[in-house]
Amino acid sequence: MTLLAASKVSLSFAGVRALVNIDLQIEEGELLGIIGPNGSGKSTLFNVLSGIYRVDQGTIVFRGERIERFGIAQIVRRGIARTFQNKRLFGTMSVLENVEVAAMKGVQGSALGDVFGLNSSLQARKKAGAIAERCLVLTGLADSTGLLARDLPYGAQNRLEIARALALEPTLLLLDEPAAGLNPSERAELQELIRRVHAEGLTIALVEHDVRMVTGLCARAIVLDHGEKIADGASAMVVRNPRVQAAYFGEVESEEEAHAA
Amino acid sequence: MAALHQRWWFWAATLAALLALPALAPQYVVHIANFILIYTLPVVGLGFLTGFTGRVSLAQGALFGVGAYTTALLTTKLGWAPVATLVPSVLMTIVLAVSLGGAAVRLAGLYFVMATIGIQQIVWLVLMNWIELTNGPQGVRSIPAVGLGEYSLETPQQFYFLALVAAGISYFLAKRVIGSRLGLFLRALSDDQLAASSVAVEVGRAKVTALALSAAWAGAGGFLYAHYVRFIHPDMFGLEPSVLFLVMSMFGGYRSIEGMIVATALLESATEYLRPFGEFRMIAYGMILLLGMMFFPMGILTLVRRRAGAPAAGKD
Repeated sequence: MTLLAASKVSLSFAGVRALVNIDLQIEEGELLGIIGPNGSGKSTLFNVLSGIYRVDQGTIVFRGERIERFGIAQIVRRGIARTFQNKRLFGTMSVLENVEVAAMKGVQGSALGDVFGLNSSLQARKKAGAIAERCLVLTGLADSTGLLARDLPYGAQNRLEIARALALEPTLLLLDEPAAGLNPSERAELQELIRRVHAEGLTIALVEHDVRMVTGLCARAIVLDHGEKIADGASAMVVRNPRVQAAYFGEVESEEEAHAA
Repeated sequence: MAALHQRWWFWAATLAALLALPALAPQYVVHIANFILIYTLPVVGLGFLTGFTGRVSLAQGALFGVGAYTTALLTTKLGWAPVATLVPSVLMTIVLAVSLGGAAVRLAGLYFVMATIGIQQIVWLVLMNWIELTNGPQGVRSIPAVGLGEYSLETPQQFYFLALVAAGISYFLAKRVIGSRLGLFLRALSDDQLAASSVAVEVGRAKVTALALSAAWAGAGGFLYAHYVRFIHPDMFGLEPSVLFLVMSMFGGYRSIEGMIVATALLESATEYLRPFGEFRMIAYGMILLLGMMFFPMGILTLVRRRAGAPAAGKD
């Protein structure tokens, strides 16, 4: 079943075409890779899907509902969560609090209820705490809950971004270059984490620069170049597509990398 | 070493000192203490905006005035009992703040500061010129003291306990607000607004709520002030108290209610020593704010916390 369908999505910034007639289906339960050279529109696509940018043209349907005019908070309430390529954590808050803020989305009660200690609010906060804790355990951060987010090592900040998105209990998770800046062992850990989360039934779209990671994780991939979708299919096939090679694997080195995978 | 504020005897001693103060200290000191206790309300209220939401307001003095004028006019012109006017004063302040500043608080920080300067001026102009309602430059005289049954809180010593209880409730409620999910949301959005939206925080609503809360605290503070000084004038609620509250709030604490209260006490006491400077006091406040931000960017209580080895900014 198709979870999200974008059709003919276009977006320009001051005449520069960032997305051109993009058609995209994300099937329920799949782990879709989105690759393309720098500036090809990968992050822009995520910004459109998560409501940060409004499309100029085209429609986006998520679980049968048009969402292309929705704001950021509205979209996340419908079940699309995301991470950011350049980490956007709440730096002065603890690791636990970072995730708790997100976990609050799924619980009842109000701030006023919290202030006056209403039972429903206390229950809700307990539930949010439990959600947060589960996400922190899953991402291997259970020992760092008291640290400030900004004091975490880089790799752990990466996982905290993912933990925070998971605490929103999304139907669709958008991961924006989660492996950027990681060393090989952190990269392997991250792949393992993504696999685990996917195995629990979550649908994931993964923007990634590292082709090996995409071919290793994703059955299907799409390729963007200059804001256009130039390939869509089995990830191992997609990377061999001559048009993709020309756009993306101009360098011999990365071509070898792709074959090695 | 456990920090001072984590030891029970520190709090017990503080409470004992506070309770004994009116019996032991000269009237003049009690009088200053009353102002400190009253001012902690607008200062802590402003903290919801400055420390927790990252929004600087220069209208807190005006909102304080709205609370003061509401109760003053209801008691002197309509003959209401002072205790009955607390809720109307708070509500009036909230309504005014949200209707004048609700749109601006959603904007970027600088626009909000500009808007609050506007609000400050509008309130002052109305108080000064709507003479039929506010008595204009004559001010409002003979505001009744707060009565509790037969008892009327007229002397500084009598008023002190009301102010102490009010400041205590304000402190307790503020801590609860900051510990609530709203507090979490406000801190999140002041760290990164886009990230806050993308974890489903209704950023606009949270900011307006912070504004409403800061107005509520200002209104309650104004209520106390009116029934303590018992004569109010528009000039008491001009830019000067707004700057003063802002300095107290920012100097005291980045997200520390205790810090804001300590700063209010220090700066209000210092005001007495700054009296010889007259009109130049504002420059002195500016210097204090500047030096405070240079040396204690996270508020004066970082001194205590740093020595205790605790993180400067945290939940507790």
